[in-house]
Amino acid sequence: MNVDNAIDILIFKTNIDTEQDLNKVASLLNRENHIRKWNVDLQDIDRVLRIESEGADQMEIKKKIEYAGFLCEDLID
Amino acid sequence: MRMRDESKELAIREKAIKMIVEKGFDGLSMQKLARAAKVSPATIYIYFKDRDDLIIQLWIGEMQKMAKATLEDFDPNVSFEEGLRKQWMNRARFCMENQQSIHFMEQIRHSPYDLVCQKKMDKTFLTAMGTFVHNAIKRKELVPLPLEVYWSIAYSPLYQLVKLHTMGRGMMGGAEKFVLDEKIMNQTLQLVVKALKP
Repeated sequence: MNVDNAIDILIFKTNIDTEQDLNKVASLLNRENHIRKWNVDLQDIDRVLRIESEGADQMEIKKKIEYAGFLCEDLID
Repeated sequence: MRMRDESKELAIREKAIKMIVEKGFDGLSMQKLARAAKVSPATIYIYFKDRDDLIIQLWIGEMQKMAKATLEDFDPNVSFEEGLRKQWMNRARFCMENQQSIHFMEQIRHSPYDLVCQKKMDKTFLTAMGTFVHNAIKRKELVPLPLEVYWSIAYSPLYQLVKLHTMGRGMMGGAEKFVLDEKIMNQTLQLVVKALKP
């Protein structure tokens, strides 16, 4: 996988779990102009939300996801 | 801004393969992998989209290593016997020196990932093997066969001998040691070439 230098990768630990959750998140993220691609690793315990963005604000995204009713925090080491 | 770091990616790949070989696909978690590779879980997601992507990228990496080793000093235009000998040598060496890699690719073979992976097979490798076989058929050094039959006769004996060599024991009760040396390899190769001659 190629990661462009202009692309920022944002990573969050979430509790996004079901198809329904994904749809909810999609309705939020798909209309963000700064977000090129996103996915949730449903096989991982941390349900990692991974976002490829061009200048999206990490805090803004976090707030939006939390506002939609999900846990969304930084993935700590 | 997170930047790519080749050595980190390499560490992630190495530890992930080790984990899968030792504990199976279920034994691979991003947390455990991060700890083993001494990176943060977030770092893994810089290089890989998710767990499935990681596993598929691992296969692509190992497959490319294998393809490169198999094609080393191999000319698809030489005679069938000479070419097949080179293939046997290259493949045997790769298998013996990269047992973890072989084990991992075998696990993929028996998993749902196989279907996705096979589509990503190295094109240079496939072309070289195809050219080699078609040249040999044209020169009447090789009998035309369905690919599966050809492969089973041309390579299965080698892989079986390599497996026995790796296990380190023969088939007579397993008490005696079995070593695949050049003499045994040539002896077997002669029989294979004879079987495949028109």
